[in-house]
Amino acid sequence: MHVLLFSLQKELFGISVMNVLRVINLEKLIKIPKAPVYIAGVTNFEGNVIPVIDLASKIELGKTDLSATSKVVILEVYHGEDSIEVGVLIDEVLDVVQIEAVRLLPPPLENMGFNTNTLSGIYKVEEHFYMILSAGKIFEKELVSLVH
Amino acid sequence: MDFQQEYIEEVSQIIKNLEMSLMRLEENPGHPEEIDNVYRYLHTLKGSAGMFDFHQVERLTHELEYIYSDIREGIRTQDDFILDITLHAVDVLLDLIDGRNADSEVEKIVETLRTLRGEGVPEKVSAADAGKPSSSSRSAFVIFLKPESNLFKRGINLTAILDDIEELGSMEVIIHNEEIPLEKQLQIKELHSWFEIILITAQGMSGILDVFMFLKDQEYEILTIEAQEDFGSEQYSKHIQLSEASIQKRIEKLLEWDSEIFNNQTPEPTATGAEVLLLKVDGPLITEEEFCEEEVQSELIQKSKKAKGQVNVSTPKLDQLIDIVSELVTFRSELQHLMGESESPQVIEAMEKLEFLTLRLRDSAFNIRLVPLNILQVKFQRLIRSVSKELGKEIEFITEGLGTELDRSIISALEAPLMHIIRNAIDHGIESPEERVKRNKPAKGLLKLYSYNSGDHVFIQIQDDGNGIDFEKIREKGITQGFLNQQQTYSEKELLNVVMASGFSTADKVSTISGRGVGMDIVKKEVNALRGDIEISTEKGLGSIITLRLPLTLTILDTLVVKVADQKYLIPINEIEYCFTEQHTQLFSKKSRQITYENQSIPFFSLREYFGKEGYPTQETVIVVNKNDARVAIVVDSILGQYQTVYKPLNELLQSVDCFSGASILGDGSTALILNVLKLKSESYA
Repeated sequence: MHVLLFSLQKELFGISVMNVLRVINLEKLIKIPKAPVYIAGVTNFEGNVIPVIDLASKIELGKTDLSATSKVVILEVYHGEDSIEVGVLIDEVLDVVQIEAVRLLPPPLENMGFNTNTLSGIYKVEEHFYMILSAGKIFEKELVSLVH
Repeated sequence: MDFQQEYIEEVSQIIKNLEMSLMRLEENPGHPEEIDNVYRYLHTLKGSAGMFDFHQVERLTHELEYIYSDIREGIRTQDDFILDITLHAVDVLLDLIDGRNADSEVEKIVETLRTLRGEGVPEKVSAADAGKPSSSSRSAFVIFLKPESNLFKRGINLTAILDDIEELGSMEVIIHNEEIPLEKQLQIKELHSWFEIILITAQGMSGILDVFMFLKDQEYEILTIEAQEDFGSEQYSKHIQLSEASIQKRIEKLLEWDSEIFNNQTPEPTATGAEVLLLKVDGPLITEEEFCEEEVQSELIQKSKKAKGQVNVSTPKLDQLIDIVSELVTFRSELQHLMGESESPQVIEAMEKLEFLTLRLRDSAFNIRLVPLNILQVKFQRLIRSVSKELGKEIEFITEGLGTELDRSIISALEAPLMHIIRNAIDHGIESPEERVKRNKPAKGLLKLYSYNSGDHVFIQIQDDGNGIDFEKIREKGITQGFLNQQQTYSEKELLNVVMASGFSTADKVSTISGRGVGMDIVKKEVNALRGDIEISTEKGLGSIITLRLPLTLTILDTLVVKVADQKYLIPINEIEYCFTEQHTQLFSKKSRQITYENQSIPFFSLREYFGKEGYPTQETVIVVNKNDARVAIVVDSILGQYQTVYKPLNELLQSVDCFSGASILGDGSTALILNVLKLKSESYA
């Protein structure tokens, strides 16, 4: 599978390009009062109003400080036959690489400093470990409540 | 769209038309024109069903066709019973088309229809079987059918022609020049093949000619086959030179159908009409005249359709168009914003023209989404018919102004609530015929459904001349069900509100018609979800009127743009009653958050306070909002202006944030949230 590699809070992450619609610059983010803390706001993506998630906060890695270089990865998250569009804040896009699923290591369970249940595995390139996120797992809780 | 899908949509349309004709027959029983229509729809359904392996559809329509053919001929009169069966069959047909299993229902209907016809003939007398008892007047033909490739564009249905030939007797079609598969040719609606049709029929030359009446003379040739040698004749070879083996094959086929075919005396090529009719009695179902008439009619229909230029478009495609148009409108504003104040008159003029065009484009695009309310009419009529029958009540249903158009999503969302209101009116409102006569009312209860436009809204009213709402009963039920207090006296308005309270029902026992626990509360909820209102007015003993007030479209919204801290928010203008400014110290002098407006004390919410933002302005702006008869004031920093926006729903992930009902994209491309004022209220109560 092809994976988009990016950095967030000095950590290295990846996510399957199957879920990635676009990477955009963060602009015109509108904050939503009373929204859950991990929702940074909403933005206009191709005429649709979509939520922008503070990914770091969502996976319990901290809180993203918005800067001029902040990027938003627009994800398409599938649930059942539907899908929802959601943006996630990241620090920097690094690369898009092809990885073999067999080379994906099981995610470590402890002491990672964030919620590792959101990972589908870990991918090692030379000295670097990339934590491969699963879009479905990140929003698992939210998707469950959608199904009622 | 694949071929089958296209067929299904076409057939659904025909079934809808059929249903509509049936409802007209209900009003005017035996109306010849409608009987003809019903018959024609059945015939069309039957013809196309066979082609797509919808055999049950074919069977059902086939049986119904017999009945309606008899009605046309005057052998039978169309009565309520037949109408009932046909309507039931319509439902079953829809099930079949949708791919649901309805075999047992089909069996039941077919059996009833057979009993009705008073015969137990084995079903599907196949053409070949029917032809077995060789009649001396049957003769063999070969038809060379070479339609021009534009056949379909001329509105001629090739399969229908082949079907019609099949009904004449026994036939075999040999397709020539089939480099592209026939199915594909049908699909792209361009014909390249030609057909050699071997036929044995008792209908004579004239019977065959009738089938081809819409083809051009050069598109077909009919040869009489009197002897085996005719397959090698000059006339035959002109079309195709057959090998000895091919000739033998064709002869075998003919002999298989009728072993004596070549021993006949010379057939009569010009059979007179009377004879043909006589011969037909045990043969096909339709007489020649009907055949022609039918073709003419379908031709006419095709033409009238073209004149109106109807196109079926799938909803996602439409939504996409609307999205792009909305985007364009926003982008235009953005462009104007970027260009700033231009000095050049040409640029100003061009920008104005662009504005004019984009707005017009937007209006026509939104217009496409509007559909008239009368697309629901047949459903209502059927509902009224079945409910009134079940309850033994007589209803006269009158409609007015159902040409009024609404957004298609609103119409489909309205279906269930309207059905419920109608059900209620018949069940609870209109009395039994005996009761009505006692009260000096006509035995037939009147149910009126009318609709009209007013400003940005569409009103739909359902009126009945029944008993009206029994306030005493509501009071009683309200008390026993715990909605009301025994000691208190309630106004009629308050009692009507109870009717729409969740879980309230006046039904003494749960019937299948209404009062299943879901009641007016659900109706109200659904109407409110469409940003509409519902109002009941009633007069004891005289009836009630239920009025629905709905926005023309869900997507365009007139809003007031307000500023709170560093962000803009939108408030729907139709909810706003009054705006004024007030000193901050004045407003916040007390702990209670109440202001006096029109001698009434109403709660207010400061959005700054609510959202937890510091830095109040010295002069605050108060906006009094009135929604569903609930008044509440909100305090904002300032009003920025009025803006017509395109409503965008909030993403599923944001649905927990219910103080916003949606969002819009402003002229500069930024997003603004639409306030759901009532939710502000309920949240702070909790």
